[in-house]
Amino acid sequence: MYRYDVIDQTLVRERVAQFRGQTERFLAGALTDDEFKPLRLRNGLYIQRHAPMLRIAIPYGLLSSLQLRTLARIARRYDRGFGHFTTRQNLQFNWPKLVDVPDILAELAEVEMHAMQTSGNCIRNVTSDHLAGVAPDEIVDPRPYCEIIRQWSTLHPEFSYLPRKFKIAVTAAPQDRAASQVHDVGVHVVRNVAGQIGYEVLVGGGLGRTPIIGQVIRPFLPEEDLLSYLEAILRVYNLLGRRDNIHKARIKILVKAEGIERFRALVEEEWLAMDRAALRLTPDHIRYMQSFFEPPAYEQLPARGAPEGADAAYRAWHRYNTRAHKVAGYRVVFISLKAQGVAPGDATAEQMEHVADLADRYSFGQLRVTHTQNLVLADVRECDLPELWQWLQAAHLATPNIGTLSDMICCPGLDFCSLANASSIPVAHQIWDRFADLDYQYDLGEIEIKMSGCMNACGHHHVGHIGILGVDKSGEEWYQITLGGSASARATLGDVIGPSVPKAAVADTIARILDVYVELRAEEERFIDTVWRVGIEPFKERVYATTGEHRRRRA
Amino acid sequence: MRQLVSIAGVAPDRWTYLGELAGSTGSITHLIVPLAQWKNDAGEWRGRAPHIGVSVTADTPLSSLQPHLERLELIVVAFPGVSEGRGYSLARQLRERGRYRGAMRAAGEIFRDHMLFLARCGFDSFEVSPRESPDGAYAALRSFTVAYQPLRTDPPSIALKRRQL
Repeated sequence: MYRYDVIDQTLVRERVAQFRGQTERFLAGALTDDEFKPLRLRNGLYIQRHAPMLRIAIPYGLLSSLQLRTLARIARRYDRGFGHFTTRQNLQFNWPKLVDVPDILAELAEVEMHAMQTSGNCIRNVTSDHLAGVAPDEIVDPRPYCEIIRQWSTLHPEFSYLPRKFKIAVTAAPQDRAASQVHDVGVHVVRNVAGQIGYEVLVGGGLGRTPIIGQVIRPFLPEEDLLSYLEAILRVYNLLGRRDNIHKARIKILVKAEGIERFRALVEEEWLAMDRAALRLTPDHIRYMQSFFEPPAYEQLPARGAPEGADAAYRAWHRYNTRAHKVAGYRVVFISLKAQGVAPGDATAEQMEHVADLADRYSFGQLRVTHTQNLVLADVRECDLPELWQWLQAAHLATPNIGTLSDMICCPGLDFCSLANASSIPVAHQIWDRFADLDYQYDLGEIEIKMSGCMNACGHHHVGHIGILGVDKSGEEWYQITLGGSASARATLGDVIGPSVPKAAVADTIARILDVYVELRAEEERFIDTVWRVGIEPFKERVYATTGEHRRRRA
Repeated sequence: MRQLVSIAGVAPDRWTYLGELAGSTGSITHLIVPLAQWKNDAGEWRGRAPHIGVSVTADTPLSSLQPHLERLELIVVAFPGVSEGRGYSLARQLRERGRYRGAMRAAGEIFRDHMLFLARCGFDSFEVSPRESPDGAYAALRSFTVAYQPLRTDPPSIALKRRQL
């Protein structure tokens, strides 16, 4: 993984000193709330429902065991002993004290971490494929490009006061495992017919109040021009994006208003006129970044395949929580943070330390955070899997449910977030409890449930096979259901099936939807494929053509 | 007299805004005129003071300044709020696309936290908020000694160690 040199290390330390000064000025009354806000946000600090919330950057989701242990220590010392992994592959602490934050950031800086630009109207933490470097289908490892973008975007003098936040995702495989098509910019590393590496660049995607799938602005950008082209896009957005209405300030609104053709013309004009040479990536620089992501020292091992005759629980875990690795004899292991009764994405300090130990023992001391709020040990020898499984079980981290219904994406919702209209975590518990029979979940196959407690869509509900959006109706929590969304290579926004349902009826409503699926599915047909084939009508009919009791509750 | 922060230090501002002329006595040597008024009659303004600068708001497009760049000694960009970001892009466009070599000042809601970003985008002087201390703002120009972006607009006198691509 990338290791800080003297420039990186100096920068994070100077940033901590700067923030310490800003916090002192605020506490001394020299800065107003409004003046301090953009400063603290750029260091990941929100003022939330109960306490400040601190969001720590995990660039493209990659962590070392040392970094994870540090996060565990911070959770214990400054928070309530747990943390929450987010859909941007970051970690949030929900209970730090404002006066402690400079010290927390100083501890992070010593393990090459920071909280810069995890919030605020600037370029946010760049996200990527959690299988980068090990996925059998990838063209190249996207992480060197992610690190190049991370550095370029960090404290960028021109783009620190954008109209709104700006999210970039990078992938390098035909399967989109980073939801790149619903980002402000999606960068797809591709190879052209001549065999050269370059990028397909998408712009104007996003979720939130106005969900839009990104459009191609450049089908093939030469490898050396990545940063200048991003700079041209950002400059056009910074100058022309709306600043009068927070709900219309994202780049997707600008792209929609101008149209992709005109927006492209504006970007290309800026790009041709700007100083591109200063930002041109040299082969040496790219090779230098690639040198940090060389494959680890894999052993030559025989491929083992699926376990036979072993314990049924182990077989289920192997089937659902491990994936193919590009090197024979190795597998990718998912650590489920979606156990029954636990807030999706939460991990305790003890679990973090346990995972850090397992990463050291079984996966070259590294791990990844997925945007679906799980962890990944990417390089596990197949022969170590039974032992690893037992260690994970001991820490309640082996729930065999990756890719199933209970592997829900879920924002913190009303329980923590001051933006939320409705709770998410209790609804996740309700769904888990209703479908607690794992065999039933297995029979249903791959289903993505994604839930947000408000329109901001941190839980990606628009691109859930089943999306759940919490809404406030005269002080009561109600939930709007969408079907047919996907963030896969075929990115699609879900359709709302009808009026929202009360909180107590969410799991029942999903049960009706699943009943229809079981009745209508063709052999081996996934839920999402059935929805795409038959449309939402049959589901809608079953959900709303109901008993008097249900109707009364809806009224 | 207003204190002005520059890359070189803190000093009294020798420039006067047109709006400040009423009540001032003596001859004005450095006068700042809103761009629209200056465009109306550039010749007349040159008769009023030997040195003329123009002021614009941060949302001014490059195209309205570009035809005049060779004749301007000072461009003042006014930032109405702490989160106004357009002036940063305008500054880089003026320096890089417009090849403007004159002085460039950021005015308005400018605090120490903005200083280095503004300087790196091409501003060389800063009229900080009345709520900010000029000395604190000047010191903030050196709050970082390193940077990732290889910008041609970086002020040479602030020795930033930069990532080379």
